[in-house]
Amino acid sequence: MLELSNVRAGYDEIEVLHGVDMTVGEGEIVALIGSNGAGKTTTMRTICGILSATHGTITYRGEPIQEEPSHEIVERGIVQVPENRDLFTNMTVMDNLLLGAQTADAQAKRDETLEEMLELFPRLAERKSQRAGTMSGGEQQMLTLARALMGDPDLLILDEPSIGLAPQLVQEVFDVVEEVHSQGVTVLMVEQNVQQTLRLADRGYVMENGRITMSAPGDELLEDDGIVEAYLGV
Amino acid sequence: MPQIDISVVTFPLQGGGLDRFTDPLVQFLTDIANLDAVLLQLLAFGLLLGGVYALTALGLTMIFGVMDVINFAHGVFLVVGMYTVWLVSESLGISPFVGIPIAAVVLFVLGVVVHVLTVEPILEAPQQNQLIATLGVLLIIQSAIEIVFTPDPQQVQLSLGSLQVGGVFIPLGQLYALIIALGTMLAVRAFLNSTDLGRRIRGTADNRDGARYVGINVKRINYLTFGIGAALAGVAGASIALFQRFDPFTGETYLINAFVIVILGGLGSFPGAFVGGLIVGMIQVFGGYYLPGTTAQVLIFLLFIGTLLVKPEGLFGGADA
Repeated sequence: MLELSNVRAGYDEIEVLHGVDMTVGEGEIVALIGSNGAGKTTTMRTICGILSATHGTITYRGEPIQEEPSHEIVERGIVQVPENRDLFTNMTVMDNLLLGAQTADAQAKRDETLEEMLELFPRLAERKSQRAGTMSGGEQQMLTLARALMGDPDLLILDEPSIGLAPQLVQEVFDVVEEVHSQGVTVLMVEQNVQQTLRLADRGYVMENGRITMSAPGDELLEDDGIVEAYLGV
Repeated sequence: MPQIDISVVTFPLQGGGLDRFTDPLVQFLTDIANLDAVLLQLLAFGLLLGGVYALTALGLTMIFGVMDVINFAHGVFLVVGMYTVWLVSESLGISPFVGIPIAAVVLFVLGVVVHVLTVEPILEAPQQNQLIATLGVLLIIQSAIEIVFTPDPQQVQLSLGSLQVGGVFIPLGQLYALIIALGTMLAVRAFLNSTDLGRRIRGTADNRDGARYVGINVKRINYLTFGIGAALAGVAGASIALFQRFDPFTGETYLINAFVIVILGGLGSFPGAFVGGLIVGMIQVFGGYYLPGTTAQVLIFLLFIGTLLVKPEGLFGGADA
């Protein structure tokens, strides 16, 4: 479904990704793990067209997308939950949700999806008219997830969706990811919560210093001594 | 009743001799205490002028709010609006009121062209680059108008007369301009709040990266915003032409006041532009009457500097375009 081949990218003159190769198959949950500064968020931003790849190719369903602007990538069905949420904080919860549905397909079933989201996230239903910036961190994270799902994604990219959340909310986020995946959405996720993520994931990639250094099924990575020592604090 | 020209170029309110200006505060308080008719008259003029000022600032604040671009060409966009309504009425014999929407369309197209040719290629560059580029656009268009139409002042031939309400004199040209300003502001507000496109524009103003993540075509929003901002300048300029003579340089004073209004109200804020417009309009009218010379304009600049020092985010804090 998604394939990155020798992708290089970065910020201004500083190259962060030094040739990343990875694939995500249709219907999979794929995890990308690595320490801070390894290049995980840069990878996510490059896939979504927020950053430009300076070298290499990114193909989605067989077509190159590395030169497409972000709105065309969303139009193809790739939607991201960004690490820092990037909500429209001065706008209401309802505005944020409606803005999530930009593609023709998403707009065609906007009302239906909106109803589903308000059922899935009852807290958002209670706060429809509240400004997004005035909500708690947990509520904002739920709104970011719901906004992405309003885009009717085929591939959902989650960048640290549980960062800074209380344990109960972390579980809620993982429950939502499982629920979305069970409905046929492919998931690529970056997560600090490595153990829980690898349990959920079909496959995982380990990233170090802008390169993929290991790739294996999630349960195999969980049993790898190096991974356990580096990321699970054991 | 004295004839008062509420243009920003000249403000010759006769007040009864130099001594009248030596103690403006005492005079002002005395007028309030006596409920002097002149006070009501000045309030009416302040409202009329403030409403038009607010309209001149609307496009500027919108472009800044969405794109972070300080558009120096805004003043000359006003002037193009003035000349458009004048040309339409003088050459084609069409009512100047019909010329106003025509000016909006002309300026929308001009705004999009200016954006595509000059702003878009340097949108990600440091802000001073856009500032210089739009200043260049101002000079080019201003010179072009001067070459084609000469620097001589022009005037729309329109005799609208005036109303007398409870002893207050209201020139109809200014009144129509105020009504157009209020109507335009309400229409833009409704457009931004109630349509999908308006919501996308507000979203882009709120968080550009967020807009990209949800799939908004930010590039398209940019040129539409620049076009709409220019169209608002066109409506403002065309409305001003209903009651004021103009030349290729008339936009400069309006541009400066529009910057003060935008800073005072809060960059990107529509309510801020309205309230800021009223405040600047009132200062100009009351200051012009009670204070000597161009003290009112000095007061406006003091307000500008004071706002930047004390409340740099402005009265309404911005991000409400």
